[in-house]
Amino acid sequence: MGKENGDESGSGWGGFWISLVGGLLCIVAIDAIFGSVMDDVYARSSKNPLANIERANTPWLSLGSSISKYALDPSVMTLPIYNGGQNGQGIYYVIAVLSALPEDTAVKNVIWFYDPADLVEPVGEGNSLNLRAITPLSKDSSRLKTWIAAGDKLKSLALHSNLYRYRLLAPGIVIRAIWPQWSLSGYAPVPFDGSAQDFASQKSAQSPDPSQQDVTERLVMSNDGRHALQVLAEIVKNRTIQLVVVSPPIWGDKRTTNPVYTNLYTQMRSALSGVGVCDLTGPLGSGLNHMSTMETLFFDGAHFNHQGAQYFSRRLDRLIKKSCLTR
Amino acid sequence: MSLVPYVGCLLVLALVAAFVRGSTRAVLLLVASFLFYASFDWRFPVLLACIIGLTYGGGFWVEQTKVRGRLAITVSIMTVLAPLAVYKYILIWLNSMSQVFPTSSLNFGGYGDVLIPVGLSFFTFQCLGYLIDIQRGAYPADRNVLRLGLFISFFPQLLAGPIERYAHLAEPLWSKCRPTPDMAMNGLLYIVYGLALKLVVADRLALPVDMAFAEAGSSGVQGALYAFFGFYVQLFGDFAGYSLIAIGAGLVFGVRLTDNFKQPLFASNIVDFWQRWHISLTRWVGDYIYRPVGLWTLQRRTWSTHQREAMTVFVTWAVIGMWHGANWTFLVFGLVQAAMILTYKAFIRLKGRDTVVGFVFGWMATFLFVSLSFGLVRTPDLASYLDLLRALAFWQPGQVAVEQAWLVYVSIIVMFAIEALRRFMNLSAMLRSFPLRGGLLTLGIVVLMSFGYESGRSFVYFRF
Repeated sequence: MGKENGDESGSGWGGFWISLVGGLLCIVAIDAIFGSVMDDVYARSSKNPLANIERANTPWLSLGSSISKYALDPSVMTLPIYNGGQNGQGIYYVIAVLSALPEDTAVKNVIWFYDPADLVEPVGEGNSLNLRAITPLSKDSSRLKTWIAAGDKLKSLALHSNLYRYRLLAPGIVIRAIWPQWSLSGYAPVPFDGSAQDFASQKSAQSPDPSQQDVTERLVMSNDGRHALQVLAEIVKNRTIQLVVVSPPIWGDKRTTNPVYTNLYTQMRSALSGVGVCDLTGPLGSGLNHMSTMETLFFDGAHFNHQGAQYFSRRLDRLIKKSCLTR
Repeated sequence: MSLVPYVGCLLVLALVAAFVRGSTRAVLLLVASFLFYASFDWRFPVLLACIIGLTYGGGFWVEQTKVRGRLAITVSIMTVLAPLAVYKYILIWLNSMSQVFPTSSLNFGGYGDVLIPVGLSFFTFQCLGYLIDIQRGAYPADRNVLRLGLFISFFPQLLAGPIERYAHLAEPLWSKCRPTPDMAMNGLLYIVYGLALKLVVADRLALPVDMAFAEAGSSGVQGALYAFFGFYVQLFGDFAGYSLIAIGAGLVFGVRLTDNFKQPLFASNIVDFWQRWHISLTRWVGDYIYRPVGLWTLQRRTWSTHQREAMTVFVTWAVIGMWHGANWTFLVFGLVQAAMILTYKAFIRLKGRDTVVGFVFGWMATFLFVSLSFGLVRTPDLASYLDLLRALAFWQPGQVAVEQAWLVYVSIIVMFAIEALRRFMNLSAMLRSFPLRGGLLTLGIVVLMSFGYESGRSFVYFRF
């Protein structure tokens, strides 16, 4: 392609290609420098869940979604626990965090707040969409890259770029590296603004009485859910962690006895059998089930209020000490 | 097809097309255009081919009979308009009468079960312009169906314009134009800036705007601010973004498409605004609706000049309003614009409008009016619109959750700054050197990689 008529700048295709290739090289250089700087900043930022866990330096760690975040108040527990729950996260987050923990971590016991929905929805739907909050951790994890990309080849490719890995997260990470907000317990009561939530109206929209539900609607585990359980079992085994599985009470829905979830509980227990698991979703954890009818403990259908968190935490503390305290 | 893969395919095709000569290149573009349209639904290219065939045949008929009467042009126009009328109006009216499907939705793809061919109203208008121009004797009917087909289906502007004229685009597309390095570089810059407007500004703003309209009764003044001002900015980012990508794509293929937006955010009055917003549509309507209606009013000898002008403006704007779809809010939108234009023209001799203070006052008034009136295009119904208007007027309390609000505001400020530079300074003269433009391109790509929002949301104007 030679120089054409109407070329206003006087530069030919040579100048065009040089500028284009130079620009692309600049992007590669910017990406590399940005990644190197941000990885360092991320390691010191309180936005990094691993940094929080390591700073808490406790042998007990709880992981799960906002249900666990607002359910476990370590201040009323005798066990030294860090609450690592994050809004909108599920089993894939639990696996990502456990995989990324350093070899010499203090964490020896993990309380996993089991949510059946995590095992039903395939990667790319539901809670797995929120994995984008921890994309910086995907640098050394091809598994996390795969889950975040959820089959999108372009996204999978883009995750090799540092700019994309820190996409939209960088400002928050930098701010929390300069002004970190460390919490040694990880717990904060559910934020209540007085207007957004109306538990009374939610009650009417709550799932119907389990006994009335048609058993043909039983939830079925997805292939991704099955695979995630296998990976979780491997990690627990390889890292010699004790996994305490808890089914958090949901208002009006006794999940552990609800036939809709039976298959999922059975498959979950089967997948985790033979590794260091203390299962509180079965008879051992029956002492937690009565809370699903105690309306005053809940902020909304799924989350405890502060009083509920303290009530639940005390009971869970006793239950763990009674049934799971092996190390 | 989502945006980034689309741009990737476009650049690969541009590279291939650069090494192909003559009509082979044009056929390559034609095939690519049909394949692109088929990527939305395999039935769409069939309809497109039918409309091209009807326009081709209609062109000959109009050419042969234009001196003898208006039958050929009338029948040809009705035939080409038929799919648009059926898909966009008749089915929707039938559905809305039976209350089966919603009559307003920003979801791309159609209304309820009715799948509307995307871009139908845009390329139909191109066909109509071609037929009317032949009737007027502007040029003869095209003997080459492939050339006419490429003009109608050229993929960068197929879905949402710019609405091109045959005389401007057909021949350059077919044989004449090849990209110069300057055009290619500018094309890439346009594409990246268009992507940024869409992915960084519009799609992020869309979330609070959608929420504000969805909860119109309770979102209060904050919701109203997002619904009116937010939607105006979102629509600009979305539509101008699309147009820039289309123009950029045209440039990398060596074709200059019509500039569809000329910094409308800084328009100093409503007439100025409509000379800067969706220019290809307003020019099309000016040539094919405003002028004929104006000539018709001249035959009404008892009418005063003001009456003639009012009739012409109201009819023209009713057409523009209804072009957006079968909803009364669109008609109200058009009529409100007409009323405002006539009001402005009545006061055009106001002193001091050319001063800085006059400009600022005019700009603010225009921005306010356009924001409020564009809400009519977006609102699901008039009741929601009035709720939001009430919330704004009486400063009613309420809240809309905004994800990463700082990014929304920063991106809007940066966009306004860039648009101000484009409006008030000669950017093309300032950006002559390739290294400088290469640097801007790099910066744009870095911004897209760092702040682009992955919503997968289609362009708002795809539904029109």
